[in-house]
Amino acid sequence: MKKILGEYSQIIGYTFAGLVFGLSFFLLFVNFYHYKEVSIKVAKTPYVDEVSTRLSSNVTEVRKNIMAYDINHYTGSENGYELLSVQSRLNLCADAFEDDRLKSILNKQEISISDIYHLEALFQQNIINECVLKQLYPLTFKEGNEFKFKSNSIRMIAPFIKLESDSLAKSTRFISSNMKNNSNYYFGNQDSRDNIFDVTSESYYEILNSYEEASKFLLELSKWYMNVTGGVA
Amino acid sequence: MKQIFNGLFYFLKFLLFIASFALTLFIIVQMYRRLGKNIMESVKVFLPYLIIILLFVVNLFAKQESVTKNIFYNLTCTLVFTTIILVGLRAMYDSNMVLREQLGRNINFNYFDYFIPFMKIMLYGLSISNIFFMFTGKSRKKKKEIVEQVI
Repeated sequence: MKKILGEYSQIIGYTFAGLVFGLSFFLLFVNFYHYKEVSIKVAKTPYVDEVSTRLSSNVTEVRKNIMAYDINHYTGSENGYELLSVQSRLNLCADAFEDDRLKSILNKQEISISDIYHLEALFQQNIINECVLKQLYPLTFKEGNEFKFKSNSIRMIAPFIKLESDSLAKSTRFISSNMKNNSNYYFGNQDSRDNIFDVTSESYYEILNSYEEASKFLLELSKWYMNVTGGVA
Repeated sequence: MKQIFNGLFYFLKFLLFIASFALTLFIIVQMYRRLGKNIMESVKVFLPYLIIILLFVVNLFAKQESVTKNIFYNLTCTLVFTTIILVGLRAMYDSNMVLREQLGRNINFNYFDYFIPFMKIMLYGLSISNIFFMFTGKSRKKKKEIVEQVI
């Protein structure tokens, strides 16, 4: 009897050990496969360099447009100090486009999903928070029915700033939530692999377009500013 | 050859057990801190570790050769602890999983949390098979003795 029980316990022991062996082997390989899947990289295309060049030229033009204003020589009808404040705000916005981390990502020959995440985080931090929300959006603030900035020209441009700010703030928000889906493993197949690749690739161009959109918005504001201050670029 | 491999897996079993336990403890402590939960609530995660170390100690001191010299069991233990370590390391260092960055503390808690049930299944499975192998000891020993006598 003891012998039979011993044999049975051996069989059951091996059965459990075998099941655990199979499960751990599966988990080990599914993780390895998922690691390979999420490490997919997207090759840089000439379009990225084109956008990068356009961003630089837009920022250079913005600086040129706003630097023409000098409060000591301003003879127009607007409040000179308010215009000086706008100049400082636009200058800070231009700085936001010249981040070294942005340049290092744009210079990479192959882009991973981690780079896309950091690019999106930079866009939120530098462009949306530091530039749009802290510098430009306050130009549209009101106290009761009155604008905080009294200059007529600022009041005229305020609806445009508000509309563009709202649009930019929402432009990349969906990207980070899309990317979250890559953070768990599952049975990998070609569809999921393609999906991760597409999310990486499309998000990259989407964020680049948002950067360009923001730089164009800034350029428009700088042109408006140049017209108001009467500066010659 | 079999003895050399068995010795290797037996040694690795203890080494990887310590490493996997330390890694799990680190991640769970960070996870509970982030959630503001009491660390004592995580005891159930470590219960299978406790059971398995108790069984290892019993195997060691009771000289249960049916377990300690079972190459398949030692190999399975090595594989399980390797899987736990690799998953823990991925949760900490795989920056391509975006939640690692978003959840803060540079650990993908969501990914590791998803793995915990599998970890428990594997550790409890090892404990159960260890207990069953314990009972096979005497019968196998007797078998060996009979074979030796016949020879």
